[in-house]
Amino acid sequence: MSDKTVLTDGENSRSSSSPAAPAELDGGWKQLARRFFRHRLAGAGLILFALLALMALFAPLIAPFDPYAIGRSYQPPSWTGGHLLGTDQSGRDVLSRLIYASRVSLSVGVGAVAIYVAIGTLVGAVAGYFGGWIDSLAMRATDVFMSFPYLMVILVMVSVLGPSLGNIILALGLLGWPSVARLIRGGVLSVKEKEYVKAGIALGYSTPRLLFLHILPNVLAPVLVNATFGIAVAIITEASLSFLGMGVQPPTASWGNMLIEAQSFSTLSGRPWLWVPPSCMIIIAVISINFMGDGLRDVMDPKGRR
Amino acid sequence: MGGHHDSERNGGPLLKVDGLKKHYPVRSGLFGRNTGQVKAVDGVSFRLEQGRTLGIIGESGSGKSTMGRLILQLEKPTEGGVTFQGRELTGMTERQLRPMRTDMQIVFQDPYSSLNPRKRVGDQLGEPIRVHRLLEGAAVEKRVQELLEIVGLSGHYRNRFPHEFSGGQRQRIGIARALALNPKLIVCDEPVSALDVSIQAQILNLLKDLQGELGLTYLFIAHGLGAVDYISDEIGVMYLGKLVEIGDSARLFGSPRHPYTAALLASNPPGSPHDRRREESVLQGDIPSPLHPPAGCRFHTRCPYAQKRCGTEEPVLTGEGSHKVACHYPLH
Repeated sequence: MSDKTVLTDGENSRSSSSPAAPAELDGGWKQLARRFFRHRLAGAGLILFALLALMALFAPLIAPFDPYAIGRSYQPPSWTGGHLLGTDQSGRDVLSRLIYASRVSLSVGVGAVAIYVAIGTLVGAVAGYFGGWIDSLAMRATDVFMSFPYLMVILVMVSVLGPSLGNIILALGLLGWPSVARLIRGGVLSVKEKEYVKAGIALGYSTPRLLFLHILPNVLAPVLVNATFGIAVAIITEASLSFLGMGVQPPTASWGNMLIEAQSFSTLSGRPWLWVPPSCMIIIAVISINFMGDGLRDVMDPKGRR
Repeated sequence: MGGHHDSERNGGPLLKVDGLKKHYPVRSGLFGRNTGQVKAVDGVSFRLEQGRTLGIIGESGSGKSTMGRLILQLEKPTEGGVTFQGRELTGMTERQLRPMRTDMQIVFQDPYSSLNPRKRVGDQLGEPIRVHRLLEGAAVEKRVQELLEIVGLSGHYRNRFPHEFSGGQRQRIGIARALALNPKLIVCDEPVSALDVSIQAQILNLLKDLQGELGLTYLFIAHGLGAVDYISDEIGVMYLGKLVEIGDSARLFGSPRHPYTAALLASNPPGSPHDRRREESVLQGDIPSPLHPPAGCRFHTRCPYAQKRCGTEEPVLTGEGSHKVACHYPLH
């Protein structure tokens, strides 16, 4: 062969004469992780979220009081009295309730989104790849689901199934998938026409291999961003449900129902320690998750800076 | 370059295409009624012997790329047969086709769309080998390295992502992927059209060298006449889904018999200013819509020599020997 000599296209001479960087020897995940942490906001988001998760996990060890123990009501926060964030109308320690509430709110957010991303991805991928009547059927089903008055249906489902944490997660998860299905379907429709997918068919790959290993990784990025927002929305929806009496039932605390309990005028104007901390927690959780989503999206794009 | 000595082994040509057709339904209106058909490929037949190269040329929209995909069963033909290594492919299910696919591969036109942007080059080259269990374990890595070196790239590149390469390098990777399963036939779907002229020559040389080394058979689709002339033993000219002329490369270029072939050759810019000819038969107008192809000879609307008969009667591809033409009044 005449041009067995390696390097012919001009620019390769530069890249290959430099010794192979050690980074090239790493596995893909290591490099992904390194790039993720180099992304400052994403790193911050991850650390915040990890702290929240640890807090939820080790709530009994961290909480200074029993979240259900009743004492003198409406004590303001103080360093000396023991109640760092004061007490609520039943005299329960706000800080302890805040810590326990993170368990409820985070599991609602993550659980519901995990369920609906899984359903939406499967429906969207199958609809987009196979097309035809399967696609029509799946898309009409998403239209039907999208036309439901969201909160009403959740209210009905929760009241039929009973307002437990698991049922709330299930209800949110079963209703959230249409937007994910549409995102995935659109992506699959465009990616399946790409020549590397045609090449995969020509190479004799099975349909599941093509769909899940070649097409899906190329359409997941927008879903990831959608999912991070979804966690935030689920946390807030749980709060609304609590407000309507269909959320996590008292005395169990969630950030949402703590806010709801604090909505009397006198509390809003005179006792900010009852509503500022849970609001802050929701904001911190939502922001940290969104930062992570942004970072993940940038990192998962192989064209991003390394 | 490649000989004909292998043709007897299977008792026939490597690839036989008979009356291949692909009609796309056109749907319109609220209920998607069938309102017509685009006849992208409309009755193409030819044979391709092992080790040879058949070049296919034609304007955009002549159906040449569709034909390449039909042969590989990436799209199902409407009608007609594709016989590869003595086996009829058209009736087969995808499952039946899968083991056959190791013997026929494709190199695409656009090197930016033909590689998966999220997979390392080494994984993309190793995956087909693993899927078909041709090799296992460390042997796969070795083969990937070897494939990269065969196409003139460094073996280190296996850990890189496609975006780290230039167009020419990507096309080399695309060729390496097509070679991964040791195919007999490679459909080259305009493999150099998207590349710089200087790099086109490198890729063409690479393809030619590989053919000599590995005994490959090519179906080389192109609209650039230069590339086809250089690499092909035989050339087929397509117009609106039909083969209008086919024959030995030198003879077809030396003395084209179909007016369309002559016009294509005349529109090719000469290699040197001294070769400049007087403008004889530059084609006027665009290729007609394949939705409503002209009656009779499809070329008669643009043909400088068209007669009355051309508008009514469709010519058949005939001729003595290997040089065949579909024209009522062939040149020469």
